[in-house]
Amino acid sequence: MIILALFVLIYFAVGLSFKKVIDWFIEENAEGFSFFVDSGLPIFDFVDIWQNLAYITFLFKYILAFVVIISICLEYSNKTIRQNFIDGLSRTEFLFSKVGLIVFLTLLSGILLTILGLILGMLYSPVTSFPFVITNMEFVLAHMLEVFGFLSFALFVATLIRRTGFSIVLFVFYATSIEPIATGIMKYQYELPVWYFPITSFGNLVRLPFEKYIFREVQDYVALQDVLVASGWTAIFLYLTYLLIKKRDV
Amino acid sequence: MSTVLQTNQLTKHFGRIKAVQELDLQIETGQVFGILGPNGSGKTTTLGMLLGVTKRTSGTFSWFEQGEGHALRKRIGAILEHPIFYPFLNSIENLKIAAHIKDVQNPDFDGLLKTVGLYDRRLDAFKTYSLGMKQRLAIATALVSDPDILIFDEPTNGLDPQGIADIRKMIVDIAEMGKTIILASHLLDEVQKVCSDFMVLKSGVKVFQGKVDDVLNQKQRIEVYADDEEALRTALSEVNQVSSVKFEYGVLVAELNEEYSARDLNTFLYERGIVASHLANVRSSLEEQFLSILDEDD
Repeated sequence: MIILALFVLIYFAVGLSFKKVIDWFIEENAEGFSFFVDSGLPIFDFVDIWQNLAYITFLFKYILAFVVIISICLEYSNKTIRQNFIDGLSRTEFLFSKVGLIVFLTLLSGILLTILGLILGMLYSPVTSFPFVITNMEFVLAHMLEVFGFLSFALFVATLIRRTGFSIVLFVFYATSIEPIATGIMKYQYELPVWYFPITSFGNLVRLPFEKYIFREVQDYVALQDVLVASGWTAIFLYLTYLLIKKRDV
Repeated sequence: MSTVLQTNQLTKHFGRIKAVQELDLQIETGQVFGILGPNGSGKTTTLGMLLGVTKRTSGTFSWFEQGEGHALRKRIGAILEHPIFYPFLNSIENLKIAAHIKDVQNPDFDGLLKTVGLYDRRLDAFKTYSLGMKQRLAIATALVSDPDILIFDEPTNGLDPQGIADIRKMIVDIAEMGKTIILASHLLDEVQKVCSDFMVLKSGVKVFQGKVDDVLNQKQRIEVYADDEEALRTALSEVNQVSSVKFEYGVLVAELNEEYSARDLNTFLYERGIVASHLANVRSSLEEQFLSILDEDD
């Protein structure tokens, strides 16, 4: 029920933009769709479609991350977190309500991805028999883990910083610039392994599939190591968030 | 009488600043307890620790003789500093959240909002409310779980005189329902009008605790004035029962010992040929007691 109440908040805070996100999400995929169909690639064929879609929709998780960051930072800037504690909410309950939000968003993106995959696949795939449809659907789960880990990171950054603007800037800057540049230098300059970085590990769950269409070898399965590393980071971020909420004055 | 709140050596340091130092405090059921102190004396910090939002440095406290678990706070209605609500939600929705956190079954939102006079605006978003309305909603929220104890922190801050009078009346009404109230304020007048007991905090240290009536009744104060001020002063200085004379706001204020009344003083002055043009019995105000308490401590 607290989660429900927070949804109401989020509904107002993010409001209609959330619907627009979904519109945008579908639109985005429609564009991608026309481009790839014109070029005659089997992007939306079953078996392949799950990895392809799961990869394409990685952008969607940034929007969800903003939802999480805004939800946390509004609690701090409006001080409602303070009043909720005064009213008798425990700190653990507060964290659970926010983790509940993340779970909800994760399920939402998983469901959206599944529906989208089924629709696009049914429309455009030459094979639509059931065994082919469900083959490779583990990419949906991998995508959900990716979203969940990513949102846990967003939760941690927001709880640490508590200012909406600064949190979003730092979050995006880290996820799109700092870590990719750092790992890029390490990987190509010094040939060091980079699989243990958080954003990299989330991204590794569903690897870039399209290169196979130009006959390059790609990892077209979900690797156990990637799952473990991503789960590890998720646990670390959630635990750090727990410590922050538990120990700090509000 | 049972103990509602007990603190033991409660202390909070913010870095080098000692916000609250070794506070021992006991509040009984039914008291209207004032926490007085200048700005920055540690009132809100103390309440913050008691309400689980500020982590204490050391010491212990106990609500209802049952410790400090978060579930106990569900039996407390509290507002710290400003009214805090989700700005985009209306009164009912904000009340629903509070009621949900406090596990209230079948809350009567309409009744509460009528009590605090906010019923007509119940469907408007919180951010559109005036400060007075926000305070009213805060009081409604504090009352939502029908708590045994209510905590108000500067409830009349920033309100107009009518709003101040309304809120004070509400607090007095709540106290008459038999609820325990803790009221933090820097407004002495407010504590004097509302509270039965009070303590004074200064730089985080408790410098005084007692009953409001006891403090007020210690001395009687007489405002007196005559055309011949010099003669009046001389006469007053000859009376043993007059413990001090001060010139305040155009009149002389004399403090009398208990057995000596205004009538005695008037008779005495008349016998000395001094006719008082102004003579009034004023209740000693908490303000002077408060200032003298703070002075003594220096």
